[in-house]
Amino acid sequence: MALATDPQISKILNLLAAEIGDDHTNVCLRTTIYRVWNTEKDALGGPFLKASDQTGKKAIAQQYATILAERAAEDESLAGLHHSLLALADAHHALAQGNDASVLASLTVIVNDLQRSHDLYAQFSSDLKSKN
Amino acid sequence: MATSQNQTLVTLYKSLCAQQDALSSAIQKATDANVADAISTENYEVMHRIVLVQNLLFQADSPELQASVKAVKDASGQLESAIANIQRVTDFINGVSSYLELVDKAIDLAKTLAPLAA
Repeated sequence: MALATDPQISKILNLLAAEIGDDHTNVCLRTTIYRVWNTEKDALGGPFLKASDQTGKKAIAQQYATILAERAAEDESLAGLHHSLLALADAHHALAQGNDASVLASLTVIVNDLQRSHDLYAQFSSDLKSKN
Repeated sequence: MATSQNQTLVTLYKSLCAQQDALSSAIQKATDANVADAISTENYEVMHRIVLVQNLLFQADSPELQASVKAVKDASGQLESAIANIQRVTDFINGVSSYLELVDKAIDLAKTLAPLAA
């Protein structure tokens, strides 16, 4: 079964990975999401100019820093998902070839990526709570 | 599932990104808060179209779509001029509106096309 479906499964997983993208500059989902955050960041330009005192400007600067951190965290999560999809394609191919050691190695990559994303989310949530 | 992105829509996506970069740069240089807010509003409009085009990247191509995107590319120079004269806010907003009108035509056309085959 795995052998018969391997070419199509590999194609689908590689296409999904390509759609997410391997950076945030090419035409892909990561670029679009990165730019959504950029739009939010740029929107602080007017309020920053309007702020009449240092306290107001500092509050906007903090919002700016938070947006940059959120942008980086989301981009890293998508990078992890991209990596996991490619590893899943490798795992399926190894399964189709009956190579148990490679299946395990690829699944370990996926588990590590998921753990990294989970840790990143937990750290980011904690940072946000401590700021608020 | 499509094997590759529609290159005409890739061109449209890149044009929108280039305009967004120009708007972003203009916001950084703005010294008037109202001008910065006006640019930001248009920036959101451009961003909305980037998301729409992202969702259409695997639609089929057509000669009509190619002509429509060519019109967008031709108009992008006028928008760059409008951004360069950013202090004339009304002209700037009109420039963005004209550009986005052409973008919307291309997006509406792309929506009617079939998804690319695997």
